[in-house]
Amino acid sequence: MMMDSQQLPILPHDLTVKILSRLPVNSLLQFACICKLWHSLISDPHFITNHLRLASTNTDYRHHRLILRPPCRCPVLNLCSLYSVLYEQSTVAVVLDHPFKGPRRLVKVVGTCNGFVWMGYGHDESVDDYKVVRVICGSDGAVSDQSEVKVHSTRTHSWRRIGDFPRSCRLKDLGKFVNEELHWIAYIAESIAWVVVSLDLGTERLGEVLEPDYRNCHFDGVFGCFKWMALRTPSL
Amino acid sequence: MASAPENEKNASAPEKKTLTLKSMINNEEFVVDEHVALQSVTIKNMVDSDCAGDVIPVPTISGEILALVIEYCKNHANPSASEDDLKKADAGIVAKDIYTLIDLVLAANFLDIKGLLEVTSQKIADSIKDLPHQDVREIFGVENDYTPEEEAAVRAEHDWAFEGFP
Repeated sequence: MMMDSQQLPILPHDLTVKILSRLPVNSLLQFACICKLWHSLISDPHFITNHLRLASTNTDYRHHRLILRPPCRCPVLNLCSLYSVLYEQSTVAVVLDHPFKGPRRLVKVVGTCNGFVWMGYGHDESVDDYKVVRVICGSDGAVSDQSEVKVHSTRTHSWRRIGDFPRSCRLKDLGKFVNEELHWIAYIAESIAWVVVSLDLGTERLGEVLEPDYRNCHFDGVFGCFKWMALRTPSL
Repeated sequence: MASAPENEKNASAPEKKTLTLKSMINNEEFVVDEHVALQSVTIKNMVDSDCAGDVIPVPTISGEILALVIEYCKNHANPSASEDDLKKADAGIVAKDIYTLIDLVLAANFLDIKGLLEVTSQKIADSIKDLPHQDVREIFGVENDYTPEEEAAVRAEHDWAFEGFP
């Protein structure tokens, strides 16, 4: 045993919480076995929210992971530490264990949120719920078909149809999650224009993002997000 | 000839205010520049409210720990230190055994030095994350109040987290 004759001072509860908030998730879950008090502390929603906030804002990126997909038609995903990529001489990627393995299967990461990796995925902070969004566009080439939007909530474990995107609206690429809303770039065939459509995960209301005046430019449909801003690149 | 530097020294003396911090555990005294010591919110509040005499007594913190705290404050009071320099210096200060780290986190908490509290808490978390549970219990002064059956049930709740764990 490491503790022999030396008597350690007792840490006050708030310092214990501060230290535990900085542990990686797997160590925390193991430490639920330390005592009943730690189990209830680690399971407390406030502690979990604070742990997530600390982990996601850590400027060393200690808790951030990169998911890599090898350029082959196989269901393999690799995982490595972003901290290691940025600050260490060499980085080791490990094979990510996931449930979609099989000889004839392909996997594609379509969305991530708070450490979850899923499809068209976002977190509704107002009710602490996770929602999966499925948008089914009409049959191929039939631009007049509506795009049906369904939402699955991890709280209720059920799918609900919440509405449709406007007629002739074709979504391009995956939704980007910014400010509690998912955003897609969409092509409106009727008006021959690209627009940004949004879905507020709290109110489940569909909308359209007002665009700036691009003067003589037009969009080439490239869409990304950086922190709180959604960006589209205009082409000249 | 010797009077010129003497005058210079006298002229600059009133600008450089110092404070004396005294460990009440082993009576060790440290003379530090005021702006270095004022990184401690606790000391700043004492100075601001005119509660600080010539010597500021620091209870429950040993001279060894106080020296580390002052080293941290000196580094962070240096305006020419780069972020990288500070990161390296911080890593050096917290490269200590768990006993010293626990004393240091208590000192940072008492003196209210946010940066030192963060960096020491992170180092303690890094140091304990792979330790056997009984060692962790002793460090934090907690008892295992589970029955063997209860402990096995909690372990089973998150069995994936125990992969590769002894």
